[in-house]
Amino acid sequence: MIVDGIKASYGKDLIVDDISFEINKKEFTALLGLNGAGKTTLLKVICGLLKPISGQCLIDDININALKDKERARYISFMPQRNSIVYGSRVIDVVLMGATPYLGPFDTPSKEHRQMAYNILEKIEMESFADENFLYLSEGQKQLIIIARNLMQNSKVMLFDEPDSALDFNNSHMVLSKIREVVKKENKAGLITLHDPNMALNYCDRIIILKDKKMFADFNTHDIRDHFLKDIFEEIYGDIDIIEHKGKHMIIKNAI
Amino acid sequence: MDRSKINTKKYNRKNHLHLLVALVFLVLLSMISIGVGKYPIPVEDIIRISLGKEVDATVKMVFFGLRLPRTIMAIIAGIGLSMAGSVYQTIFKNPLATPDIIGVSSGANLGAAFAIVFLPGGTNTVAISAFIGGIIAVFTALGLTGLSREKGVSTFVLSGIVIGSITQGLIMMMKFFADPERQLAAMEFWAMGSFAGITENKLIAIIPYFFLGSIILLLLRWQINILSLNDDEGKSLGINVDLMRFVVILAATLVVASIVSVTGLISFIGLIGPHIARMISKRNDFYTTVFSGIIGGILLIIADSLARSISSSEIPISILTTFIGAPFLAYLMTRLK
Repeated sequence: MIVDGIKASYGKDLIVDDISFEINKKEFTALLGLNGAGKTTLLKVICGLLKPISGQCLIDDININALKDKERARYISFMPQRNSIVYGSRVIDVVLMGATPYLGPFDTPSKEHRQMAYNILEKIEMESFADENFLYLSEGQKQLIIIARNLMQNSKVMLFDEPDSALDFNNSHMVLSKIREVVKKENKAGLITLHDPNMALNYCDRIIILKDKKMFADFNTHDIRDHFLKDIFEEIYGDIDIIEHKGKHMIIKNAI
Repeated sequence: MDRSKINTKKYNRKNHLHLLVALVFLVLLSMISIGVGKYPIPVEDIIRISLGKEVDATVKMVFFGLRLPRTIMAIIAGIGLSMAGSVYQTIFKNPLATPDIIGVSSGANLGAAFAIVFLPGGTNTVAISAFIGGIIAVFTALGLTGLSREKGVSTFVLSGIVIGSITQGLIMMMKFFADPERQLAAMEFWAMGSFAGITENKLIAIIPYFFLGSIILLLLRWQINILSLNDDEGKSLGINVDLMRFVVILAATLVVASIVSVTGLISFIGLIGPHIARMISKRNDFYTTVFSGIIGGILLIIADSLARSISSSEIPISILTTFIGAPFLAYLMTRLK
Protein backbone atom coordinates (compact mmCIF):
# COMPACT_ATOMS: atom_id res chain seq x y z
CA MET A 1 0.00 0.00 0.00
CA ILE A 2 1.31 3.43 -0.89
CA VAL A 3 0.18 6.52 0.98
CA ASP A 4 1.07 9.45 -1.22
CA GLY A 5 1.17 13.06 0.01
CA ILE A 6 -2.02 13.06 2.01
CA LYS A 7 -3.35 16.33 3.38
CA ALA A 8 -6.58 16.32 5.33
CA SER A 9 -8.61 18.60 7.55
CA TYR A 10 -11.67 18.76 9.74
CA GLY A 11 -13.45 21.99 8.87
CA LYS A 12 -10.82 24.71 8.37
CA ASP A 13 -7.95 23.32 10.39
CA LEU A 14 -5.37 21.23 8.64
CA ILE A 15 -4.92 18.05 10.68
CA VAL A 16 -2.65 15.98 8.49
CA ASP A 17 -0.02 17.69 6.31
CA ASP A 18 1.62 15.96 3.37
CA ILE A 19 2.22 12.44 4.62
CA SER A 20 3.71 9.74 2.43
CA PHE A 21 4.85 6.23 3.16
CA GLU A 22 4.58 2.72 1.86
CA ILE A 23 3.71 -0.47 3.73
CA ASN A 24 4.18 -4.01 2.56
CA LYS A 25 2.69 -7.45 2.98
CA LYS A 26 3.37 -9.16 6.30
CA GLU A 27 4.56 -5.87 7.69
CA PHE A 28 2.96 -4.66 10.92
CA THR A 29 3.40 -0.92 11.28
CA ALA A 30 2.51 1.30 14.22
CA LEU A 31 1.42 4.90 13.92
CA LEU A 32 2.44 6.79 17.06
CA GLY A 33 1.98 10.36 18.22
CA LEU A 34 0.36 12.34 20.99
CA ASN A 35 -3.32 13.26 21.03
CA GLY A 36 -4.05 15.65 18.19
CA ALA A 37 -1.03 14.57 16.15
CA GLY A 38 -3.41 13.37 13.43
CA LYS A 39 -3.15 9.59 13.81
CA THR A 40 -6.84 8.78 13.70
CA THR A 41 -7.50 11.36 10.98
CA LEU A 42 -4.79 9.83 8.79
CA LEU A 43 -6.23 6.38 9.38
CA LYS A 44 -9.73 7.58 8.44
CA VAL A 45 -8.44 9.12 5.23
CA ILE A 46 -6.63 5.93 4.31
CA CYS A 47 -9.72 3.81 4.83
CA GLY A 48 -11.96 6.23 2.96
CA LEU A 49 -14.07 7.58 5.83
CA LEU A 50 -12.66 11.06 5.27
CA LYS A 51 -11.91 12.73 1.95
CA PRO A 52 -8.36 14.13 1.73
CA ILE A 53 -7.74 17.69 0.48
CA SER A 54 -4.96 16.32 -1.69
CA GLY A 55 -2.94 13.16 -2.05
CA GLN A 56 -4.07 9.62 -2.53
CA CYS A 57 -3.79 6.13 -1.17
CA LEU A 58 -2.92 3.36 -3.60
CA ILE A 59 -3.25 -0.38 -3.24
CA ASP A 60 -1.97 -2.36 -6.23
CA ASP A 61 -1.98 0.90 -8.21
CA ILE A 62 -5.67 1.45 -7.51
CA ASN A 63 -6.68 4.76 -5.97
CA ILE A 64 -8.65 3.76 -2.90
CA ASN A 65 -10.15 7.21 -2.34
CA ALA A 66 -11.87 7.09 -5.73
CA LEU A 67 -13.65 3.78 -5.10
CA LYS A 68 -17.21 3.24 -3.96
CA ASP A 69 -17.71 2.15 -0.34
CA LYS A 70 -18.33 -1.44 -1.34
CA GLU A 71 -15.30 -1.82 -3.61
CA ARG A 72 -13.02 -0.08 -1.15
CA ALA A 73 -14.13 -2.40 1.64
CA ARG A 74 -12.65 -5.32 -0.32
CA TYR A 75 -9.21 -3.70 -0.29
CA ILE A 76 -9.13 -2.28 3.19
CA SER A 77 -10.66 -3.15 6.53
CA PHE A 78 -10.92 -0.87 9.54
CA MET A 79 -11.16 -1.76 13.21
CA PRO A 80 -12.57 1.11 15.30
CA GLN A 81 -11.53 1.81 18.91
CA ARG A 82 -14.82 0.40 20.03
CA ASN A 83 -17.39 -1.56 18.11
CA SER A 84 -20.90 -0.16 18.03
CA ILE A 85 -22.90 -3.35 18.29
CA VAL A 86 -25.82 -2.58 20.60
CA TYR A 87 -28.28 -5.36 19.87
CA GLY A 88 -27.70 -8.99 20.75
CA SER A 89 -26.31 -10.93 17.80
CA ARG A 90 -24.61 -14.28 17.66
CA VAL A 91 -20.83 -14.14 17.35
CA ILE A 92 -20.95 -15.92 13.99
CA ASP A 93 -23.40 -13.30 12.69
CA VAL A 94 -21.05 -10.50 13.74
CA VAL A 95 -18.21 -12.19 11.83
CA LEU A 96 -20.55 -12.57 8.84
CA MET A 97 -20.99 -8.79 8.69
CA GLY A 98 -17.51 -8.86 7.15
CA ALA A 99 -18.99 -10.55 4.07
CA THR A 100 -21.05 -7.42 3.28
CA PRO A 101 -18.68 -5.99 0.60
CA TYR A 102 -19.22 -9.18 -1.40
CA LEU A 103 -23.03 -9.08 -1.24
CA GLY A 104 -25.56 -7.34 -3.45
CA PRO A 105 -28.02 -5.00 -1.70
CA PHE A 106 -30.69 -7.71 -1.57
CA ASP A 107 -28.38 -10.61 -0.64
CA THR A 108 -27.67 -12.26 2.68
CA PRO A 109 -24.54 -14.30 3.45
CA SER A 110 -24.58 -17.79 1.95
CA LYS A 111 -23.75 -21.15 3.50
CA GLU A 112 -20.22 -20.82 2.09
CA HIS A 113 -19.83 -17.49 3.87
CA ARG A 114 -21.04 -19.14 7.07
CA GLN A 115 -18.43 -21.86 6.69
CA MET A 116 -15.75 -19.25 5.98
CA ALA A 117 -16.74 -17.31 9.07
CA TYR A 118 -16.49 -20.45 11.15
CA ASN A 119 -13.06 -21.27 9.72
CA ILE A 120 -11.88 -17.77 10.59
CA LEU A 121 -13.15 -18.21 14.14
CA GLU A 122 -11.12 -21.43 14.29
CA LYS A 123 -8.01 -19.56 13.16
CA ILE A 124 -8.27 -17.17 16.08
CA GLU A 125 -9.33 -20.00 18.40
CA MET A 126 -12.76 -18.54 19.11
CA GLU A 127 -14.85 -21.20 17.35
CA SER A 128 -16.39 -22.42 20.60
CA PHE A 129 -18.04 -18.99 20.96
CA ALA A 130 -19.72 -19.08 17.54
CA ASP A 131 -23.24 -19.33 18.96
CA GLU A 132 -22.76 -17.08 21.99
CA ASN A 133 -24.40 -13.68 22.21
CA PHE A 134 -21.74 -11.14 21.25
CA LEU A 135 -22.82 -8.73 24.01
CA TYR A 136 -22.03 -11.29 26.72
CA LEU A 137 -18.36 -11.62 25.71
CA SER A 138 -15.51 -9.86 27.54
CA GLU A 139 -14.09 -6.71 25.95
CA GLY A 140 -10.97 -8.61 24.84
CA GLN A 141 -13.04 -11.38 23.25
CA LYS A 142 -15.22 -8.80 21.50
CA GLN A 143 -12.12 -7.25 19.90
CA LEU A 144 -11.01 -10.70 18.69
CA ILE A 145 -14.41 -11.16 17.05
CA ILE A 146 -14.09 -7.79 15.32
CA ILE A 147 -10.65 -8.90 14.05
CA ALA A 148 -12.39 -12.01 12.71
CA ARG A 149 -15.01 -9.81 11.04
CA ASN A 150 -12.27 -7.78 9.38
CA LEU A 151 -10.57 -10.99 8.23
CA MET A 152 -13.89 -11.94 6.65
CA GLN A 153 -13.57 -8.81 4.49
CA ASN A 154 -10.53 -10.54 2.97
CA SER A 155 -8.75 -7.23 2.35
CA LYS A 156 -5.05 -6.89 1.67
CA VAL A 157 -4.68 -4.00 4.07
CA MET A 158 -5.95 -4.05 7.65
CA LEU A 159 -6.20 -0.87 9.71
CA PHE A 160 -6.64 -0.79 13.48
CA ASP A 161 -7.49 2.33 15.48
CA GLU A 162 -6.22 1.84 19.04
CA PRO A 163 -7.89 -1.54 19.46
CA ASP A 164 -6.42 -1.82 22.96
CA SER A 165 -7.75 1.47 24.31
CA ALA A 166 -10.60 -0.07 26.32
CA LEU A 167 -8.74 -3.20 27.39
CA ASP A 168 -6.95 -4.25 30.56
CA PHE A 169 -3.22 -5.09 30.63
CA ASN A 170 -3.55 -8.76 29.76
CA ASN A 171 -6.23 -8.30 27.15
CA SER A 172 -4.21 -5.56 25.45
CA HIS A 173 -1.29 -7.92 25.02
CA MET A 174 -3.57 -10.77 23.97
CA VAL A 175 -5.30 -8.68 21.28
CA LEU A 176 -2.08 -7.16 19.95
CA SER A 177 -0.29 -10.48 19.70
CA LYS A 178 -3.33 -11.88 17.88
CA ILE A 179 -3.31 -8.98 15.45
CA ARG A 180 0.42 -9.51 14.80
CA GLU A 181 -0.19 -13.22 14.25
CA VAL A 182 -3.00 -12.50 11.78
CA VAL A 183 -0.93 -9.98 9.81
CA LYS A 184 1.95 -12.47 9.51
CA LYS A 185 -0.02 -15.64 8.82
CA GLU A 186 -2.63 -14.16 6.49
CA ASN A 187 -0.19 -12.05 4.45
CA LYS A 188 -1.74 -8.70 5.35
CA ALA A 189 -0.32 -5.23 5.42
CA GLY A 190 -1.18 -4.03 8.93
CA LEU A 191 -1.30 -0.43 10.13
CA ILE A 192 -2.24 0.32 13.72
CA THR A 193 -2.49 3.48 15.80
CA LEU A 194 -1.36 3.08 19.39
CA HIS A 195 -0.96 5.27 22.45
CA ASP A 196 1.61 3.18 24.22
CA PRO A 197 5.04 3.26 22.50
CA ASN A 198 6.04 0.12 24.42
CA MET A 199 3.24 -1.81 22.77
CA ALA A 200 4.49 -0.61 19.38
CA LEU A 201 8.10 -1.59 20.21
CA ASN A 202 6.87 -4.95 21.44
CA TYR A 203 4.63 -6.02 18.60
CA CYS A 204 5.28 -3.96 15.48
CA ASP A 205 7.96 -4.30 12.81
CA ARG A 206 8.06 -0.63 12.09
CA ILE A 207 7.09 2.63 13.75
CA ILE A 208 5.91 5.81 12.08
CA ILE A 209 5.65 8.84 14.34
CA LEU A 210 3.47 11.85 13.62
CA LYS A 211 4.22 15.19 15.21
CA ASP A 212 2.58 18.57 14.52
CA LYS A 213 0.57 17.16 11.60
CA LYS A 214 3.70 15.95 9.84
CA MET A 215 5.66 12.76 9.67
CA PHE A 216 8.42 12.96 12.26
CA ALA A 217 10.10 9.56 12.12
CA ASP A 218 9.86 6.24 10.34
CA PHE A 219 12.06 3.35 11.46
CA ASN A 220 12.36 -0.40 11.76
CA THR A 221 12.01 -1.77 15.31
CA HIS A 222 14.41 -4.65 14.72
CA ASP A 223 18.07 -4.09 15.48
CA ILE A 224 17.91 -0.51 16.64
CA ARG A 225 20.24 1.14 19.14
CA ASP A 226 19.13 2.57 22.45
CA HIS A 227 20.39 6.07 21.87
CA PHE A 228 18.67 6.26 18.47
CA LEU A 229 15.36 5.42 20.13
CA LYS A 230 16.06 7.81 22.99
CA ASP A 231 16.75 10.71 20.61
CA ILE A 232 13.54 10.18 18.69
CA PHE A 233 11.21 9.48 21.58
CA GLU A 234 12.57 12.35 23.70
CA GLU A 235 11.27 14.72 21.03
CA ILE A 236 7.77 13.35 21.52
CA TYR A 237 7.51 12.19 25.09
CA GLY A 238 10.01 14.43 26.95
CA ASP A 239 12.32 13.12 29.65
CA ILE A 240 12.59 9.37 29.07
CA ASP A 241 15.03 6.53 29.36
CA ILE A 242 15.32 3.45 27.19
CA ILE A 243 16.05 0.15 28.90
CA GLU A 244 16.59 -3.25 27.41
CA HIS A 245 15.03 -6.38 28.83
CA LYS A 246 15.39 -9.82 27.24
CA GLY A 247 16.23 -8.24 23.91
CA LYS A 248 13.25 -5.88 23.97
CA HIS A 249 13.35 -2.13 24.26
CA MET A 250 11.21 -0.33 26.79
CA ILE A 251 10.55 3.32 27.35
CA ILE A 252 10.44 4.65 30.90
CA LYS A 253 9.04 8.07 31.59
CA ASN A 254 11.16 9.91 34.17
CA ALA A 255 9.32 13.08 35.11
CA ILE A 256 6.20 14.83 33.97
CA MET B 1 -16.31 -28.14 11.10
CA ASP B 2 -19.15 -30.60 11.49
CA ARG B 3 -20.08 -28.88 14.67
CA SER B 4 -20.70 -25.60 12.88
CA LYS B 5 -23.20 -27.28 10.59
CA ILE B 6 -25.04 -28.83 13.50
CA ASN B 7 -25.12 -25.52 15.34
CA THR B 8 -26.40 -23.63 12.33
CA LYS B 9 -29.18 -26.14 11.84
CA LYS B 10 -30.23 -26.01 15.46
CA TYR B 11 -30.18 -22.24 15.36
CA ASN B 12 -32.35 -22.01 12.26
CA ARG B 13 -34.75 -24.67 13.51
CA LYS B 14 -35.33 -22.69 16.70
CA ASN B 15 -36.02 -19.58 14.62
CA HIS B 16 -38.43 -21.39 12.39
CA LEU B 17 -40.18 -22.92 15.38
CA HIS B 18 -40.84 -19.48 16.88
CA LEU B 19 -42.22 -18.25 13.57
CA LEU B 20 -44.34 -21.36 13.04
CA VAL B 21 -45.93 -21.30 16.50
CA ALA B 22 -46.66 -17.57 16.17
CA LEU B 23 -48.17 -18.06 12.71
CA VAL B 24 -50.45 -20.89 13.90
CA PHE B 25 -51.57 -18.64 16.74
CA LEU B 26 -52.25 -15.80 14.35
CA VAL B 27 -54.38 -17.99 12.05
CA LEU B 28 -56.38 -19.49 14.95
CA LEU B 29 -57.01 -16.09 16.53
CA SER B 30 -58.08 -14.66 13.17
CA MET B 31 -60.66 -17.44 12.77
CA ILE B 32 -62.04 -16.71 16.21
CA SER B 33 -61.89 -12.96 15.63
CA ILE B 34 -63.93 -13.18 12.41
CA GLY B 35 -66.83 -14.66 14.39
CA VAL B 36 -66.78 -12.02 17.14
CA GLY B 37 -68.97 -8.92 17.06
CA LYS B 38 -72.51 -7.59 17.03
CA TYR B 39 -73.61 -10.36 14.66
CA PRO B 40 -71.63 -13.38 15.85
CA ILE B 41 -70.77 -15.94 13.21
CA PRO B 42 -70.69 -19.51 14.60
CA VAL B 43 -67.45 -21.44 14.15
CA GLU B 44 -69.10 -24.11 11.95
CA ASP B 45 -70.19 -21.38 9.51
CA ILE B 46 -66.65 -19.97 9.36
CA ILE B 47 -65.34 -23.45 8.56
CA ARG B 48 -68.08 -23.96 5.95
CA ILE B 49 -67.21 -20.66 4.23
CA SER B 50 -63.49 -21.46 4.34
CA LEU B 51 -64.24 -24.79 2.63
CA GLY B 52 -66.30 -23.00 -0.04
CA LYS B 53 -69.68 -24.39 1.05
CA GLU B 54 -72.98 -22.47 1.05
CA VAL B 55 -74.16 -20.57 4.14
CA ASP B 56 -76.98 -18.21 5.07
CA ALA B 57 -76.94 -15.03 2.94
CA THR B 58 -76.73 -12.63 5.92
CA VAL B 59 -73.85 -14.60 7.41
CA LYS B 60 -72.11 -14.49 4.06
CA MET B 61 -72.62 -10.75 3.80
CA VAL B 62 -71.26 -10.09 7.30
CA PHE B 63 -68.33 -12.43 6.66
CA PHE B 64 -67.18 -11.01 3.33
CA GLY B 65 -68.48 -7.45 3.64
CA LEU B 66 -67.42 -6.61 7.19
CA ARG B 67 -65.35 -9.14 9.05
CA LEU B 68 -62.91 -10.43 6.46
CA PRO B 69 -61.58 -7.04 5.30
CA ARG B 70 -61.45 -5.86 8.87
CA THR B 71 -59.56 -8.92 10.12
CA ILE B 72 -57.13 -8.80 7.21
CA MET B 73 -56.57 -5.11 7.90
CA ALA B 74 -55.87 -5.80 11.57
CA ILE B 75 -53.30 -8.44 10.60
CA ILE B 76 -51.68 -6.17 8.02
CA ALA B 77 -51.59 -3.26 10.45
CA GLY B 78 -50.02 -5.37 13.18
CA ILE B 79 -47.40 -6.85 10.88
CA GLY B 80 -46.59 -3.53 9.22
CA LEU B 81 -46.38 -1.36 12.33
CA SER B 82 -44.35 -3.93 14.25
CA MET B 83 -41.92 -4.59 11.43
CA ALA B 84 -41.49 -0.88 10.77
CA GLY B 85 -40.95 -0.33 14.51
CA SER B 86 -38.32 -3.05 14.57
CA VAL B 87 -36.56 -1.54 11.56
CA TYR B 88 -36.62 1.97 13.06
CA GLN B 89 -35.25 0.67 16.35
CA THR B 90 -32.43 -1.02 14.46
CA ILE B 91 -31.38 1.82 12.20
CA PHE B 92 -31.76 4.51 14.88
CA LYS B 93 -29.88 2.32 17.39
CA ASN B 94 -32.58 3.15 19.90
CA PRO B 95 -34.81 0.45 21.41
CA LEU B 96 -37.48 3.06 22.14
CA ALA B 97 -37.77 4.35 18.57
CA THR B 98 -41.27 4.13 17.09
CA PRO B 99 -42.53 4.63 13.53
CA ASP B 100 -43.29 8.23 14.49
CA ILE B 101 -39.64 9.10 15.18
CA ILE B 102 -39.32 10.63 11.72
CA GLY B 103 -42.77 12.24 11.66
CA VAL B 104 -44.92 9.85 9.64
CA SER B 105 -47.84 9.45 12.05
CA SER B 106 -47.97 13.09 13.10
CA GLY B 107 -47.93 14.03 9.40
CA ALA B 108 -50.77 11.58 8.70
CA ASN B 109 -52.65 13.01 11.67
CA LEU B 110 -52.28 16.51 10.22
CA GLY B 111 -53.42 15.30 6.80
CA ALA B 112 -56.50 13.67 8.30
CA ALA B 113 -57.32 16.76 10.39
CA PHE B 114 -56.96 18.97 7.31
CA ALA B 115 -59.36 16.78 5.31
CA ILE B 116 -61.90 16.67 8.14
CA VAL B 117 -61.98 20.46 8.44
CA PHE B 118 -61.46 21.67 4.88
CA LEU B 119 -62.23 18.93 2.37
CA PRO B 120 -65.56 17.42 1.39
CA GLY B 121 -65.89 13.71 0.62
CA GLY B 122 -65.88 11.73 3.86
CA THR B 123 -63.58 8.94 4.99
CA ASN B 124 -61.96 8.20 1.64
CA THR B 125 -60.73 11.76 1.32
CA VAL B 126 -59.49 11.65 4.91
CA ALA B 127 -57.51 8.49 4.13
CA ILE B 128 -55.90 9.94 1.00
CA SER B 129 -55.09 13.19 2.76
CA ALA B 130 -53.61 11.33 5.75
CA PHE B 131 -51.44 9.22 3.46
CA ILE B 132 -50.14 12.28 1.64
CA GLY B 133 -49.62 14.09 4.96
CA GLY B 134 -47.50 11.26 6.32
CA ILE B 135 -45.33 11.12 3.21
CA ILE B 136 -44.87 14.91 3.07
CA ALA B 137 -43.87 15.02 6.74
CA VAL B 138 -41.18 12.38 6.23
CA PHE B 139 -39.85 14.05 3.10
CA THR B 140 -39.66 17.36 4.96
CA ALA B 141 -37.77 15.69 7.79
CA LEU B 142 -35.40 14.03 5.32
CA GLY B 143 -34.93 17.35 3.50
CA LEU B 144 -34.12 19.05 6.78
CA THR B 145 -31.55 16.35 7.51
CA GLY B 146 -30.10 16.78 4.03
CA LEU B 147 -29.65 20.52 4.63
CA SER B 148 -27.65 20.04 7.81
CA ARG B 149 -23.95 19.30 7.68
CA GLU B 150 -24.08 16.33 10.02
CA LYS B 151 -26.24 13.56 8.56
CA GLY B 152 -26.01 11.11 11.45
CA VAL B 153 -28.80 9.46 13.37
CA SER B 154 -29.26 12.28 15.87
CA THR B 155 -29.96 14.75 13.06
CA PHE B 156 -32.76 12.51 11.80
CA VAL B 157 -34.24 12.36 15.28
CA LEU B 158 -34.01 16.15 15.66
CA SER B 159 -35.66 16.68 12.26
CA GLY B 160 -38.42 14.31 13.35
CA ILE B 161 -38.93 16.34 16.52
CA VAL B 162 -39.09 19.62 14.56
CA ILE B 163 -41.62 18.21 12.08
CA GLY B 164 -43.62 16.57 14.87
CA SER B 165 -43.86 19.88 16.76
CA ILE B 166 -44.93 21.86 13.70
CA THR B 167 -47.64 19.34 12.82
CA GLN B 168 -48.87 19.28 16.42
CA GLY B 169 -49.11 23.08 16.35
CA LEU B 170 -51.08 23.04 13.12
CA ILE B 171 -53.38 20.32 14.43
CA MET B 172 -54.08 22.30 17.59
CA MET B 173 -54.88 25.33 15.47
CA MET B 174 -57.35 23.32 13.38
CA LYS B 175 -58.91 21.84 16.50
CA PHE B 176 -59.38 25.32 17.91
CA PHE B 177 -61.27 26.50 14.85
CA ALA B 178 -63.10 23.22 14.16
CA ASP B 179 -66.80 22.66 14.74
CA PRO B 180 -66.74 20.88 18.13
CA GLU B 181 -69.74 18.62 17.47
CA ARG B 182 -68.67 17.02 14.22
CA GLN B 183 -65.18 18.00 13.15
CA LEU B 184 -63.43 18.05 16.51
CA ALA B 185 -64.97 14.72 17.49
CA ALA B 186 -63.93 13.20 14.15
CA MET B 187 -60.38 14.44 14.65
CA GLU B 188 -60.17 13.03 18.14
CA PHE B 189 -61.56 9.67 17.05
CA TRP B 190 -59.15 9.50 14.11
CA ALA B 191 -56.23 10.01 16.47
CA MET B 192 -57.40 7.05 18.59
CA GLY B 193 -57.58 4.66 15.64
CA SER B 194 -60.23 2.13 14.66
CA PHE B 195 -60.86 -0.75 12.27
CA ALA B 196 -64.59 -0.03 12.22
CA GLY B 197 -64.48 1.94 8.97
CA ILE B 198 -62.44 -0.62 7.01
CA THR B 199 -64.04 -1.65 3.73
CA GLU B 200 -62.91 -3.94 0.99
CA ASN B 201 -62.18 -0.92 -1.21
CA LYS B 202 -59.95 0.75 1.34
CA LEU B 203 -58.11 -2.49 1.95
CA ILE B 204 -57.50 -3.02 -1.75
CA ALA B 205 -56.40 0.60 -2.16
CA ILE B 206 -53.64 0.42 0.44
CA ILE B 207 -52.37 -3.12 -0.19
CA PRO B 208 -50.02 -2.23 -3.10
CA TYR B 209 -48.22 0.43 -1.00
CA PHE B 210 -48.05 -1.86 2.00
CA PHE B 211 -46.53 -4.69 -0.02
CA LEU B 212 -44.13 -2.45 -1.93
CA GLY B 213 -42.73 -1.04 1.33
CA SER B 214 -42.64 -4.41 3.10
CA ILE B 215 -40.92 -6.19 0.22
CA ILE B 216 -38.22 -3.52 0.00
CA LEU B 217 -37.63 -3.88 3.77
CA LEU B 218 -37.44 -7.67 3.54
CA LEU B 219 -35.06 -7.53 0.58
CA LEU B 220 -32.78 -5.05 2.34
CA ARG B 221 -32.67 -7.10 5.55
CA TRP B 222 -28.89 -7.57 5.58
CA GLN B 223 -28.20 -3.90 4.86
CA ILE B 224 -30.58 -2.93 7.69
CA ASN B 225 -28.57 -5.21 9.96
CA ILE B 226 -25.37 -3.33 9.06
CA LEU B 227 -27.13 0.04 9.55
CA SER B 228 -27.46 -0.87 13.25
CA LEU B 229 -23.72 -0.09 13.53
CA ASN B 230 -22.42 3.45 13.68
CA ASP B 231 -21.79 5.20 10.37
CA ASP B 232 -18.00 4.77 10.28
CA GLU B 233 -18.27 1.06 10.93
CA GLY B 234 -21.03 0.66 8.33
CA LYS B 235 -19.01 2.53 5.70
CA SER B 236 -15.86 0.53 6.38
CA LEU B 237 -17.95 -2.62 5.85
CA GLY B 238 -18.80 -1.28 2.41
CA ILE B 239 -22.27 0.22 2.81
CA ASN B 240 -23.33 3.57 1.40
CA VAL B 241 -24.83 4.47 4.76
CA ASP B 242 -26.60 7.73 3.84
CA LEU B 243 -28.28 6.30 0.72
CA MET B 244 -29.26 3.04 2.35
CA ARG B 245 -30.76 4.76 5.40
CA PHE B 246 -32.77 7.03 3.08
CA VAL B 247 -34.20 4.07 1.14
CA VAL B 248 -35.03 2.11 4.30
CA ILE B 249 -36.80 5.09 5.88
CA LEU B 250 -38.86 5.64 2.72
CA ALA B 251 -39.89 1.97 2.57
CA ALA B 252 -40.87 1.92 6.25
CA THR B 253 -42.77 5.19 5.75
CA LEU B 254 -44.73 3.67 2.89
CA VAL B 255 -45.76 0.78 5.14
CA VAL B 256 -46.78 2.93 8.10
CA ALA B 257 -48.50 5.66 6.04
CA SER B 258 -50.57 3.13 4.08
CA ILE B 259 -51.78 1.58 7.33
CA VAL B 260 -52.55 4.62 9.46
CA SER B 261 -54.21 6.44 6.56
CA VAL B 262 -57.16 4.04 6.84
CA THR B 263 -57.01 3.00 10.51
CA GLY B 264 -56.03 6.24 12.23
CA LEU B 265 -53.26 6.28 14.82
CA ILE B 266 -52.56 2.97 16.54
CA SER B 267 -50.30 3.42 19.52
CA PHE B 268 -47.82 1.02 21.09
CA ILE B 269 -47.79 -1.80 18.51
CA GLY B 270 -44.63 -0.52 16.82
CA LEU B 271 -42.89 -0.54 20.19
CA ILE B 272 -44.29 -3.59 21.90
CA GLY B 273 -44.25 -6.06 18.97
CA PRO B 274 -40.47 -5.85 18.45
CA HIS B 275 -39.80 -5.90 22.20
CA ILE B 276 -41.78 -9.07 22.77
CA ALA B 277 -40.15 -10.66 19.73
CA ARG B 278 -36.67 -9.74 20.94
CA MET B 279 -37.35 -10.92 24.48
CA ILE B 280 -38.45 -14.31 23.18
CA SER B 281 -35.76 -14.76 20.49
CA LYS B 282 -33.06 -12.89 22.47
CA ARG B 283 -31.64 -11.48 19.27
CA ASN B 284 -32.17 -8.70 16.79
CA ASP B 285 -31.93 -9.92 13.24
CA PHE B 286 -34.06 -10.57 10.20
CA TYR B 287 -36.01 -13.40 11.80
CA THR B 288 -36.74 -11.24 14.80
CA THR B 289 -38.10 -8.51 12.51
CA VAL B 290 -40.48 -10.95 10.80
CA PHE B 291 -41.31 -12.56 14.12
CA SER B 292 -42.14 -9.15 15.61
CA GLY B 293 -44.47 -8.54 12.66
CA ILE B 294 -46.44 -11.71 13.43
CA ILE B 295 -46.56 -10.81 17.13
CA GLY B 296 -47.90 -7.38 16.14
CA GLY B 297 -50.59 -9.10 14.05
CA ILE B 298 -51.59 -11.28 17.00
CA LEU B 299 -51.81 -8.30 19.33
CA LEU B 300 -53.98 -6.27 16.97
CA ILE B 301 -56.31 -9.20 16.25
CA ILE B 302 -56.89 -9.57 19.99
CA ALA B 303 -57.30 -5.81 20.45
CA ASP B 304 -59.75 -5.49 17.57
CA SER B 305 -61.84 -8.45 18.75
CA LEU B 306 -62.12 -6.77 22.15
CA ALA B 307 -62.86 -3.40 20.52
CA ARG B 308 -66.05 -4.72 18.98
CA SER B 309 -67.18 -7.07 21.74
CA ILE B 310 -66.56 -5.39 25.12
CA SER B 311 -69.29 -2.77 24.95
CA SER B 312 -72.29 -2.04 22.73
CA SER B 313 -70.38 0.75 20.95
CA GLU B 314 -66.98 0.34 19.29
CA ILE B 315 -63.97 1.18 21.43
CA PRO B 316 -61.10 3.04 19.70
CA ILE B 317 -58.22 0.65 19.08
CA SER B 318 -55.45 2.71 20.72
CA ILE B 319 -57.23 2.56 24.08
CA LEU B 320 -56.96 -1.23 23.95
CA THR B 321 -53.46 -1.47 22.49
CA THR B 322 -52.26 0.79 25.28
CA PHE B 323 -53.99 -1.24 27.98
CA ILE B 324 -52.75 -4.54 26.56
CA GLY B 325 -49.33 -3.30 25.53
CA ALA B 326 -48.11 -1.27 28.46
CA PRO B 327 -48.74 -3.81 31.25
CA PHE B 328 -47.31 -6.61 29.13
CA LEU B 329 -44.14 -4.64 28.56
CA ALA B 330 -43.94 -3.92 32.29
CA TYR B 331 -44.39 -7.64 33.02
CA LEU B 332 -41.65 -8.67 30.62
CA MET B 333 -39.31 -5.98 31.96
CA THR B 334 -39.62 -7.20 35.52
CA ARG B 335 -39.74 -10.94 34.80
CA LEU B 336 -36.96 -11.35 32.27
CA LYS B 337 -33.41 -10.18 32.37
